[in-house]
Amino acid sequence: MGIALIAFLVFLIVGMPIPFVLGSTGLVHMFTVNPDMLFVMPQRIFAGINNSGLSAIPYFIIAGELMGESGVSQRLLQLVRDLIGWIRGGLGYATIVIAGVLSAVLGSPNAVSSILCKTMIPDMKKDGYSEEFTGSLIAACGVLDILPPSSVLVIYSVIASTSIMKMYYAAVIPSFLLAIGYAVLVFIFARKNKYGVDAETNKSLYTFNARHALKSLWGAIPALMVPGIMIGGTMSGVFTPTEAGAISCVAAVAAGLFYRALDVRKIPQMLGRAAGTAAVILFIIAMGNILAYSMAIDHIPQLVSDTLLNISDNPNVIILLMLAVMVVVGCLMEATAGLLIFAPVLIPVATAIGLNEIHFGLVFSLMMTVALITPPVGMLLFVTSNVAGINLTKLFKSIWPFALVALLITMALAYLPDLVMYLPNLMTK
Amino acid sequence: MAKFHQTCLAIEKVLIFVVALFAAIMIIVTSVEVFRRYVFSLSFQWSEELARYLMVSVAFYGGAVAYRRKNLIPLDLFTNFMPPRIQLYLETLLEIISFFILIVLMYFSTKSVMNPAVYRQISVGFPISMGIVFLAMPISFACMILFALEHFVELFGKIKEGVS
Repeated sequence: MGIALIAFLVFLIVGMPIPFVLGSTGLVHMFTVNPDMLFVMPQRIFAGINNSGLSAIPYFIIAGELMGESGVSQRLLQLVRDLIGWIRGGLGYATIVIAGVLSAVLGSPNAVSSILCKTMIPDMKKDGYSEEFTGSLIAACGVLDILPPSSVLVIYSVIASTSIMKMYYAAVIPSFLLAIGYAVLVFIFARKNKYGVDAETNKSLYTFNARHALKSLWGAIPALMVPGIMIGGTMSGVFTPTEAGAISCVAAVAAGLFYRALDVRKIPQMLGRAAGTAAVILFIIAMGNILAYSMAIDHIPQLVSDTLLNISDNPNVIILLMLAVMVVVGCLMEATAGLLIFAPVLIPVATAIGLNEIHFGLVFSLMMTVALITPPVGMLLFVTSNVAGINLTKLFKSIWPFALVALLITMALAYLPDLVMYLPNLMTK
Repeated sequence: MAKFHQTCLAIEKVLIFVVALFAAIMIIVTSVEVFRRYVFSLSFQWSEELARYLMVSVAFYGGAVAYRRKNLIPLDLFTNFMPPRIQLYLETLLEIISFFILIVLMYFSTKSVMNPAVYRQISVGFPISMGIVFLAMPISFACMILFALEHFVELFGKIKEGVS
């Protein structure tokens, strides 16, 4: 185990691509534990990824690409802006709501952030919002990706073999808390720095235009049907949460044809691009299974859980320890890899102290998503900095209030099982 | 050398085509299945299985493409602070390590395709040999080995340029 741990750290630090870090550490580990296991390794890789639930990842990433191209995302965005953009600091709040709406139809935080960068930044700049504030807000809003259909929730439910529907329901209240937390920050910063305010009259730059709003609502009806079909169909049981992904691709194409915005000849190219993005996550899962398997043969999950449980017999202390582990993992590792390696290790600990698997899974998944905005390794910060052309160091500094709020909410949720489990218990029997 | 590069590019194009095609089939088969179940109350097991096997292939072929394009997300937190020269050497070293790991992966996955327990096993719903489904692994690893060589040649060229 020692050799494997060293190999893991060395591979990680010298910048080996994540799937290879996981795969080669697993190989080294298997070799030191029991080389015969190498012969069953391919079957384990296959078994780990041969899971229907995982298809949701490519489906929703493709759907996101299609919705962007067919004008669905833009229309939803315009509607939200017309409805709440006129409030003081309105574009800030609108960004949060739009991020929530987009997260609920897309399966990738990167997609949400890059759409927001392209559409919100120019206007917010014009209204006096500072570049760092806007960038941080947009990156932070990517965390709302925890709303269903979220890839991390899918991955956790596959690893822990829990119900994906329950995970989806569990994610709803926490996402609202996050959105409220961000809104408070927008309120404070917009007051303090006079964002979106006319300098002379000290009033909001916009007024509510009912006609305009009705017009965007009318135009957005077909676009609204895409999430409507998805959510309605899944909740009523017409299709499974995974099938909803395929349906939403079809719905996005239909809406695109209706709006005459979609160029059918571009579809193959879009499919290749989006499926390629999804393949990166799936390939990490496939390679991660090598390491997960070698750790299982070596009884590492038991070892870690025994060690953690020996430190204290107070469940609250153990939860705090686990949160600390998650923060460290999240700071260094990409979400998929972090879940793959540490979920099997931490789940036994969680069950030993009586945590519900869904509750624990939600906290873990949320922590891994929040980690997307914590420096030094924060995918969403990279995306925002790249797409919007904002200096990364500036973002690292200005993201702190948002990251802190998100972290505190997540930690609080770890101690509030009833809040997280309220919807799953209510909606499923 | 240019020919080798051309071949790799051609392979990448084929892989992307396959990935896009498989993704399209997944979406169509699954949506048709939902429609058929809802409207005609008919359900077939093969569509779910087919979609799942295609997804596995998408993961590996798409992974190979991402490897060639260096899209597989490394942790660059520490390497970013190193001098470019060291970075170049490290990258070359990593490519060599990856090359050997890929050979190990390809060796064992080829073995498992040829394992009677795998290729004689016929899938329940969609009647094909599991060997065919497993083939995605050795094929994609073989492509990645080629791409690793291509990366290596490229890096070696850069190092030579730097020295002279």
